[in-house]
Amino acid sequence: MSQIFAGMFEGGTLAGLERSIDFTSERHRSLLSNVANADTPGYRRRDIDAVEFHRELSRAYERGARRVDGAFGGLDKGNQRLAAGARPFGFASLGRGPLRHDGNDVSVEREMALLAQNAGEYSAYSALLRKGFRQLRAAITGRPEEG
Amino acid sequence: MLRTLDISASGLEAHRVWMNTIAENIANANTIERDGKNSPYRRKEPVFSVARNGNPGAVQVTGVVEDPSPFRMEHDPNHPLADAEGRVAYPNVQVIQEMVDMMMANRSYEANVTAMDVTKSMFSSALRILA
Repeated sequence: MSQIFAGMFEGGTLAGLERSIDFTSERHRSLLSNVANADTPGYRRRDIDAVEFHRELSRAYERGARRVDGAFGGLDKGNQRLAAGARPFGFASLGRGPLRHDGNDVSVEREMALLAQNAGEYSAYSALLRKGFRQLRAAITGRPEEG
Repeated sequence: MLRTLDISASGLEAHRVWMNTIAENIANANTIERDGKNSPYRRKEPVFSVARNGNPGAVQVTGVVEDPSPFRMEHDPNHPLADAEGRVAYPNVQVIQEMVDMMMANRSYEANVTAMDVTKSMFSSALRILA
């Protein structure tokens, strides 16, 4: 019995998707702050490094490790959930925009573009997660997935 | 996730306050009298800052301050409010500048509304996971 479930869960697909959804929703938060503070003097834009996140996630898959701990927190594939004590995503000032005279470096155009891109990624991850759960349900009930 | 809407809501609120201040400045661009004396209206502007407590990352208006720049003086000896040298003080409001500020506040308000729409579409895709 446990072997059946092992095959189903150890791929770590669902855990990876979950972590990716976490990542995109946190990034969404920081992008929203940037838009809200577009006129706040002295505000520097905050962001989470997407390149670093994807690098770490693919490293976790390549190694096939049960558990990988990195800067973006643990990915515990064995338990199909985020590792306990996973570190929250760190916001960093990744602002490379030109500093305006009021000390603010937010470019609303850029933030809106990133917002749209990030929301698209979020929808894709949640659609995949939904698909994953439907397949799981189909396997359990023996009925083909509907819809 | 639900609290993310608060961030955009704070942006809307802050820019609405800015909009109100601009409207007040334009409405009083020629207000020169108070209590029978030549005491012109002083231009006001809101102070935006990042919210420290409450919802981190939101924006808040910490206050509305008066613009200390000097009043516009005009020579008009026949004016009932003119001083001993025949000068009348007018508000330090420049209507053109207020119009430009108004466009900026309007655009930022719209950006926050659009960001809220994006958040709402993310909510609905998250709710579909278990549908």
